[in-house]
Amino acid sequence: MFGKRRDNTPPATAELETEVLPAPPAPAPARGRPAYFGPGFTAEGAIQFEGQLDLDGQFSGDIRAARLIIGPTGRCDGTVICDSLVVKGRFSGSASCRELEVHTGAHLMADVTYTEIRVTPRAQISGRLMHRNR
Amino acid sequence: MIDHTKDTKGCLFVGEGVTISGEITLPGAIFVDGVVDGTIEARELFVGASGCVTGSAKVAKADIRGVMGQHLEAAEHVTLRSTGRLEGKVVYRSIDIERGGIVQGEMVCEAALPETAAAAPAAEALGDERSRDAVASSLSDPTDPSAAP
Repeated sequence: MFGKRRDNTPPATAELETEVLPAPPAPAPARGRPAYFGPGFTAEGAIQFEGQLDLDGQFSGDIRAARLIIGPTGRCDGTVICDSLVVKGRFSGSASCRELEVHTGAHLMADVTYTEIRVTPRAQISGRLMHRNR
Repeated sequence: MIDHTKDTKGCLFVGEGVTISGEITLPGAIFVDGVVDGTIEARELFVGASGCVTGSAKVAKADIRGVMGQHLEAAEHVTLRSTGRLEGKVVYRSIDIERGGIVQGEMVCEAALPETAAAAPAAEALGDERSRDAVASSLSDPTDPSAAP
């Protein structure tokens, strides 16, 4: 009937993984030219960049950047800490950001701590969303 | 004010300052500008900017400008407006969150439909939403800029 749990996800009282993520860096204009990882690019590891990162390929690991844009063909799996996170493709893992944008056709399966969110219709979001005041 | 010339059959209007608690089941839409504490089962749920729902709601469509707490299950579409706040668990098929809207909790997407199949009902829903918006905005403060579609 009502209130019946439809899945086997743990209750919301469980310790949130996103809580341990540090706050994203203070908003700063992205320096220099954006870094672009095109379709066909596959890598894993850790990326630290002070500017904008455009990901149209696949990456798994940790990303720290001012702005991360996961394009429609982009796949990202891991931990992301950035000021602005834009998802048009697929993202799974956990993230901490100030601004979160999830576009039409995006798949977000992650725990995200954010300050501001914007979701366009037909974006798929599964996971925990935690709002952080600034 | 509420425009009674519209078809309000099967609908429930909870005005500002009104508190209802218990189990509510209705075939139409529920408009909440007051406080509802309990369970709601309806076709559509509209929570106005001053509205607050605590408990659980099982609906086809939801349009949130106020606070929706604990458990929302929407078989079709959820629209979270800029003044809205969603807390707890949200089970939905498609969602639209305006800038300023706050989600605090767990989201479960039930969209199993492929992109192309999902596109048609979504477009239809948007058309329907516009007419519903007219009803909804007539309920909320006309000076509220977020009330305009």
